[in-house]
Amino acid sequence: MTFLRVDQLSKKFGTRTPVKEISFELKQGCCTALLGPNGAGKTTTMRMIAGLIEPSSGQISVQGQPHSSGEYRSLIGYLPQHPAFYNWMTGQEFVMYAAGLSGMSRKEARARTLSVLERVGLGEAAKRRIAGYSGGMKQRLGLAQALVHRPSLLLLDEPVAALDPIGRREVMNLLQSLRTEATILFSTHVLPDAEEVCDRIMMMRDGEIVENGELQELVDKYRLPLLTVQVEWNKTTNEWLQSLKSRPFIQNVQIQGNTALLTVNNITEARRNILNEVSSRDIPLLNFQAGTTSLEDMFMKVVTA
Amino acid sequence: MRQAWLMYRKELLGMARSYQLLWIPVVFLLLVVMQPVTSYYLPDILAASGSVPEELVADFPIPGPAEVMASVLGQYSTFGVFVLVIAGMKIVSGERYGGTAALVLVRPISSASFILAKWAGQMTLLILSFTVSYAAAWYYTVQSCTFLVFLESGRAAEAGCCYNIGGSSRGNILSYYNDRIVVCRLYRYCYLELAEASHTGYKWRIRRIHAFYFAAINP
Repeated sequence: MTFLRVDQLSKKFGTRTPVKEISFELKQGCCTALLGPNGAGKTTTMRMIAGLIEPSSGQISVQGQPHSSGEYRSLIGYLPQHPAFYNWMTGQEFVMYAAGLSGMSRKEARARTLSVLERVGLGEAAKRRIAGYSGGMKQRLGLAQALVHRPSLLLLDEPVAALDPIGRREVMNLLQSLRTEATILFSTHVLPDAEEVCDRIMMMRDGEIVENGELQELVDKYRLPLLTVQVEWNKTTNEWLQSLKSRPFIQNVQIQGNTALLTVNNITEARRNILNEVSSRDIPLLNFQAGTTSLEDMFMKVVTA
Repeated sequence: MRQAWLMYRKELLGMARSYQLLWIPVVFLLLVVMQPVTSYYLPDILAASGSVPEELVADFPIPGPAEVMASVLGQYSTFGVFVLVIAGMKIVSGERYGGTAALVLVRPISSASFILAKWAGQMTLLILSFTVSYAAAWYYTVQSCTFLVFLESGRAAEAGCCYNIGGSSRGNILSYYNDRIVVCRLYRYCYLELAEASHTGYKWRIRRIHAFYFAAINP
């Protein structure tokens, strides 16, 4: 079932168009990563879906209702890229305030606030002023205020960018556990994060969606056999590595010192040929590995194409 | 509406935590209390400067309570507005650019109620500051009633005989017995000193101040 539908969405700022006629759908209960380099239009897209800025053209509909009706807003939990709070409030006060604004009753808001603060790991700091929070704590507080009213769509703009490795791990686990409760759209430029929790990936470049699909589909689509050849470095071996570029079965060669990364069409043929050459030319081979390109390679390929 | 009320309460809490709810009324209070005090001392200040003829100082007009309160209102329209503007500027733009507005406006509330709550918060601050400071100004004139009653209770006639005492240019003798007299000195405005004075053979000297009043003397 389609939860959110975005149709021909554009945003213009003067002469710049950071988002160009993008269309996509989010299915209920699905976790999607919005990937892209800085400046690809991820944040602008998020802000339009959250209703903070008006699209220049195009439609957004939530559960079949047009976005402009305004009703959808209680369904959305939004965490901006750099959340800012009232520093004179305590964490608990802020989350309760957010819950109240979303229409929760006082009693319900209090109970929910305590549980959600506990969940993001701010249980002990709940009664302290936000001014004394660290960057990571503010990020968690941002997450808490996004979750407090039980939204069915979570929009998280780079939720782990400001966190240390431990905090990142905790937030990723939290996202994992939230997958059953809400539809999640989160933007990131860190690929392993997306790989870890998402079932779908959308990639943006220059305001356009260049790739959109199930994680596994994309992996299969972009996976290419990869050979890693490491040799003892001398003049002859170096020349040999350089000469590999001209082989018909090799698509691309990347040489890093004494190691060559070879993207090939046909792994069987390539392996046989290279090993033959190694033995016939008596190349001092250190390491030979056959594998596939990683998602990282795919990302680089898609966003720089 | 509940959301607007919540935001209004948040505004008040913010003003209390930043001590705005305390210091703005205090600034207002000082501001308006300075007004009667300056006009009270103005003849003294002029006299002290030495370049003003004594007659001019002596005949300095005595403003009545209504005039004082009106000039206090004048203070609000200049400095009062200035203070409020300084305190209240950026309450909306600050939230927008600081990013806190984003977390509030994604929730199901209208921009109108967001602005309304801010406005109501500022109005509360204004009304509080005005009430506190205007009450303080009123305090300086309210006790004038005491003197008027005093004058009307039969001693007004005696107040008519006017002497100069001890070089003071304006002292009105109210009554006297033995070598003592009860002196009422009228200051520039709404201020009355009731004192005992005695003659030292050479000049009258104030012995003991019985009381003094802030008084309204409207001729």
